[in-house]
Amino acid sequence: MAKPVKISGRQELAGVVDSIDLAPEHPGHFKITIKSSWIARNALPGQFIHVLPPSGAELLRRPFSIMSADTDTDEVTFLYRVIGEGTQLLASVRSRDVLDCIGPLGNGFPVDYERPAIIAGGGVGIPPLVFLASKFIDAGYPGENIRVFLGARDQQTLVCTDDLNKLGIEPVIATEDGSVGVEGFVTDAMTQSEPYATDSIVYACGPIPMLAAISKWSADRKLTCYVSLENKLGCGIGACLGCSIPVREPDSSIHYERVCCDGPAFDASRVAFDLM
Amino acid sequence: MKAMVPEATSRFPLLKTKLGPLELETPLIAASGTFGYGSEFENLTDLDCFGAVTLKAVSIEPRTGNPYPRIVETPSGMLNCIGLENPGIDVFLNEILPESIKLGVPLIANLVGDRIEDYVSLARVLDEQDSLVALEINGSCPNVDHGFMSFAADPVILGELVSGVRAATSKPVISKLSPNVTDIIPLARSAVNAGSDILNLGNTFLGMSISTDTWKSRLSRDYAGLSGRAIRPLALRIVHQVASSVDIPIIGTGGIYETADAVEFLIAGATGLGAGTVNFIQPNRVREICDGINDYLAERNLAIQDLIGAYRGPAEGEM
Repeated sequence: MAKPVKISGRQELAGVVDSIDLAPEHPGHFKITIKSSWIARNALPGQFIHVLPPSGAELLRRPFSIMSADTDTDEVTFLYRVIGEGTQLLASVRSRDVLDCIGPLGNGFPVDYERPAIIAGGGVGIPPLVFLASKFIDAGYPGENIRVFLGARDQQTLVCTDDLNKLGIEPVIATEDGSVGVEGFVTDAMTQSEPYATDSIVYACGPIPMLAAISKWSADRKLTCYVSLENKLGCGIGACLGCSIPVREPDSSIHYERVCCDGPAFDASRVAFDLM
Repeated sequence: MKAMVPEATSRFPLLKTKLGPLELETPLIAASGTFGYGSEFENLTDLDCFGAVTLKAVSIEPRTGNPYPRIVETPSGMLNCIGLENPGIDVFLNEILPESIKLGVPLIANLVGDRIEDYVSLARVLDEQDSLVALEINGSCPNVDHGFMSFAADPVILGELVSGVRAATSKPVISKLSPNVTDIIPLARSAVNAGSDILNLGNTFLGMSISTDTWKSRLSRDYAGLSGRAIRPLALRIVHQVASSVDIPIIGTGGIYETADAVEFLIAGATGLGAGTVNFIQPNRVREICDGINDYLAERNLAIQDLIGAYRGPAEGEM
């Protein structure tokens, strides 16, 4: 049950280095880079920053997973898709503007660099997986040994493949319309690429139905799986309990845990996807 | 009109507030449920701008709260149906309160229950906690002994609830009323007659949001509590109505986002100012509001008491 947490995030007025419209390849998608030494130096894969939409509209903050954090340049990047008023306002941000951010927040993936990684996700769940993959590279993993699977509706929502290629990673792709890679879901691509080492760990981020499928896929193969969940957040720091999701304990009892500070990364076997 | 003499030791010398029996450094009070147990905000703001922090509601037994999803943003506000999730009084006393005490800010406990006896039991236990400066009764809970109608919807039941808590504690009692009633005046009077020291007006307004894709609620309940800027004029009206009808101090809560909002509530008759949803958007804003009220008073050579209830009535053809 929700108990108070001490957050590591700080509020930063971060200068915008640039904001890139990813159209026409990816309509409605933007990539923003900000400068914040605190966030850059403390960020872990799976953590997020809580960004106040600009313009003084005083909307709730919007959470964005961190895509990269460069400790040399203090630059932090996040990628998002415009879906509502808040992200629409963010799309108007230009370089040299200032973004009001709180971060880094939440618990990132519990990464085990000693065990083989299966990294899987889709949509705007892909950017934090790029960050995770880069950490494996930094830890000395050769890119060709990191198995990354991306699922998307179509080519336009398939983001970050270039970023993965730059890390030396060739992701296996599945699209629902078959326009790129395997026709089908990300789990279809994962099945086609079997077998995997039995001590592999699956790290996943994406829309809830995709995570539910990846969680089941992993459980069927007795593989440990961590999912990073997205949800609407109120405070982002564990105070409001607005972002809680159902968790099932081994005795089948249900309770709620906060995406913002108990997650966003959860052991997938605990998440009650059937109640979401 | 004369300004108070500033004291060197106080950060906001002009904001010292006498809220009934409570002496607060500022009138700003974190609203229950919007500020966790205080420690969540420790790295994000200066807690000394809060006259008091009202902790997340506590019940006797743990409550798991409502299913997912629990919040949705709406124009100038948000709907929530958290469902009073909390770990229960034992964990509250043993694990949570000791941490909140370290923050060094006056704490108010917020009590919830299914029956009057629950509130009375909580009040007895919490009465022994020296760190709590007051107990707040959340009257919006459904009363299981009376068809799950809110305690704060019936003046007789509310009176019994407040009397019960009043008899169980020597601490100041705050009655937090629900705005979801036809006429709040009889309820306010009932709470006052039953021995409440302070009224908190108000809680969230019941609202609704429907997905046009699924035709279902966007939340795990049909109705949920609306907070934020959207409710400010409604809450302000209620504060003014009640302030004219009772003679105990009022905490005005509802959509206070900036200095002018706070000043409006003071003029309408609030002595304390509840800050809720704004803490999510800008955890530092309450400090800015304190600075802002301080400047407002200093520029006009006013004491804060000069503002409280100083409403001058309708505009008279002023152009």
